[in-house]
Amino acid sequence: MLSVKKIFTWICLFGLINGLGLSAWAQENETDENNKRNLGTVSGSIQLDAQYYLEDSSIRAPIVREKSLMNAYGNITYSYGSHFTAGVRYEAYLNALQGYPAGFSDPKERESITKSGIANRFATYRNKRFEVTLGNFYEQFGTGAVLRVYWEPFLGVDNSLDGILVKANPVRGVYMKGVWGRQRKYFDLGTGIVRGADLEIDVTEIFDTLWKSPARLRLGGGIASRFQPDPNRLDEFPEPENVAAYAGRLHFTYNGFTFSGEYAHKINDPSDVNKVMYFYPTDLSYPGIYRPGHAVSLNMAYSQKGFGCSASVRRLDNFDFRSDRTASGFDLQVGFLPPIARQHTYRLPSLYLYFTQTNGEAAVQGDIFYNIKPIGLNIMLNYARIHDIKRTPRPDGDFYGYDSGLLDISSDLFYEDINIALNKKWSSKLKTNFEFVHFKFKKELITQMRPAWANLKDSYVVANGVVADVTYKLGGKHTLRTEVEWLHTEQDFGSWAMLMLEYTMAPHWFFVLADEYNYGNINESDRLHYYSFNTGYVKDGIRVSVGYGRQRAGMLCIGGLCRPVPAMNGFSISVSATF
Amino acid sequence: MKAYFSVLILLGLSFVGKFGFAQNTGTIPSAMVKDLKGKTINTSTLDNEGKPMVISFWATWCKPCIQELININEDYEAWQKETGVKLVAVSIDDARNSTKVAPFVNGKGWDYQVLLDENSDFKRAMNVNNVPHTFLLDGNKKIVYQHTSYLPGDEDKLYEKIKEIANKK
Repeated sequence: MLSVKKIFTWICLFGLINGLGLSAWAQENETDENNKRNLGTVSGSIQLDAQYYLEDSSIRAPIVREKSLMNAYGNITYSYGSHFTAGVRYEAYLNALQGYPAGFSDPKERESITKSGIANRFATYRNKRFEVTLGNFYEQFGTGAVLRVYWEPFLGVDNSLDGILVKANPVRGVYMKGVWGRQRKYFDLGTGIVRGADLEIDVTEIFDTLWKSPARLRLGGGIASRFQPDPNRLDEFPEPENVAAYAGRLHFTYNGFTFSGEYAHKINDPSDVNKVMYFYPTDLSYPGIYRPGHAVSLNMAYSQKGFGCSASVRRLDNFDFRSDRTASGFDLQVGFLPPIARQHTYRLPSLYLYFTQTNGEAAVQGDIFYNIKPIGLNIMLNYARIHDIKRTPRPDGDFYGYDSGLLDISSDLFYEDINIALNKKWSSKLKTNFEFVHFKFKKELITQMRPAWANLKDSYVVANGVVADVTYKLGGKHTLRTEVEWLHTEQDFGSWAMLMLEYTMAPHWFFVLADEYNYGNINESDRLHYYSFNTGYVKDGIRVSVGYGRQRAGMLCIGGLCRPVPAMNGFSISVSATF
Repeated sequence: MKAYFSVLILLGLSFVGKFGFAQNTGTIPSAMVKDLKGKTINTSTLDNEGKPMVISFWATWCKPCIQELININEDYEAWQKETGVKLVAVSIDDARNSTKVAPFVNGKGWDYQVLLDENSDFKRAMNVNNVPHTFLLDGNKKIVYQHTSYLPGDEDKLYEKIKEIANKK
């Protein structure tokens, strides 16, 4: 029986519950009131790459006992409002694709290594002035010479720090970061503990409210230190347990002009990488050279609508910085020193890509970008030249290694690259890109670390190449792109020619047919065709592709890094989805 | 009894209203990037005043990315006039190429807002696997369309979607 009392009670209850809801709501941050109505958002991505290997002795493809190999990863990110994010990443290498860093593979069957599991997990809280992350994180100080932890899955690089990251923006224009953790090493952590801090002051931002300046100035400084115990603390070669690297930087822009520079210094860090820089063959088990290191870089750029130019110089001296003095390859790198040379994207020019010589190099690079609008022609000119540094060896027995001043540059050429790209749109149907490249470099650098006392004169490769890339719109959504490439050289593998046809039907389908022919190889039996066929389907955030054919031994490059891949023949499948 | 039920229903509905499943707005994940003048920008503040926004991840070494941005640039002015759309081109070039991005972009004559995501913080926050990867956000910053890779002609589909959003209002 409904009485006034009952109705009144229900209305009160109703009102109370709603009132509570309303008040809780009102307390929350006004900027994300709509988000608070739900339970957060979930997003993520998945990537899977698998290959089935066929035997092919003529291209010297390694035999793959498993017959098929697969790499996969998946990320799930959860965010609640604008303050909280958490994520997890699962990775599997069953077994790792050929050419991936050795730590993912199991060289001895008797040992079992972890091949799959949670590789990354983190939780972050942030507000306008402050952010803290627990778990795995990525970060970069300045140009990355002193600290850069990052993730590049296609190359198998993930040197994330597992620990604590704190960031603060206490007042306008002041940005602070602090890191503390151990680095990821495959499915484990490196022995070294890394601690670091960075401070960046955006001078222009500080004075923004008082004075609207067309110039911008940023100053910064960062330090990173690793602690790794010395296993034999009482032997004749003490290994510094705390090794620090620190850098100061500035960045200035005014209208279209930019100038930036960074000077980094690393204290003594004898390691497996700089061990080869001792000038005398010796039987002693020394840990490396005791010389400190430095990395100096300067960049200048100017641009306005239709024109741009840039120039960079960088000198490195003994600047390989890791959280483990016995690590090599991609493992446990703390500092990041990318090559000061162009990242070639066409197949044949990318045969000869340069790797940074962290033990010492002096590089200069220049670029010009010019757009001639009336004739629809776009020009890119690039020049890079890298030399060894000049070292004065210390006597045998002095493990400081050598002496080298800031401006000591050797006449020994490591690498030279001159290239020009001409891009033109002829009509609504036809576009072309032509490139001319010239390389001269020391082959040994690309393949191994050479000891300081080895004589490698006259081991230069000189190569010249041409690329013609023609895109023709066939009407409707169909496009045909043809790539013809030619690389001529009398050293190394000899000359190559390549033809590729890419047929695309927007927005979903693509088909690629290609052949790389090593017609100029000195050995007749190595004058082989590396043919391949690829097709795929793309829909929104999902892409699936399958391929069959031969892949020559070479380098797989993404951005500033490359990894070598062996020759292979077989099928491949690749799936990528973002949701 | 009837009143009892109707009150319960009203109660239930009010809860739904508070913790509803209808998500009409989105937020852009927060990552610190820099613009071409070196100013630090928090990606969660990217805004186009209630109009559609395109976020496109690219790199100077990514050929299809450059092709996509060249092709869109040809129609960009017309797109902006018709729909007010803004394209934010986020470069994931690391320290190797980041100093070249400004001259490169100007050398190509692009009119986009270009951001530098040097350590791929924004790329990871958006769960992008490979570049090119392009997102279309509506006036409420909700992702309504995205595509990975680039096939010549994809920009037409993108524009169809942009117009759809622009006309919805």
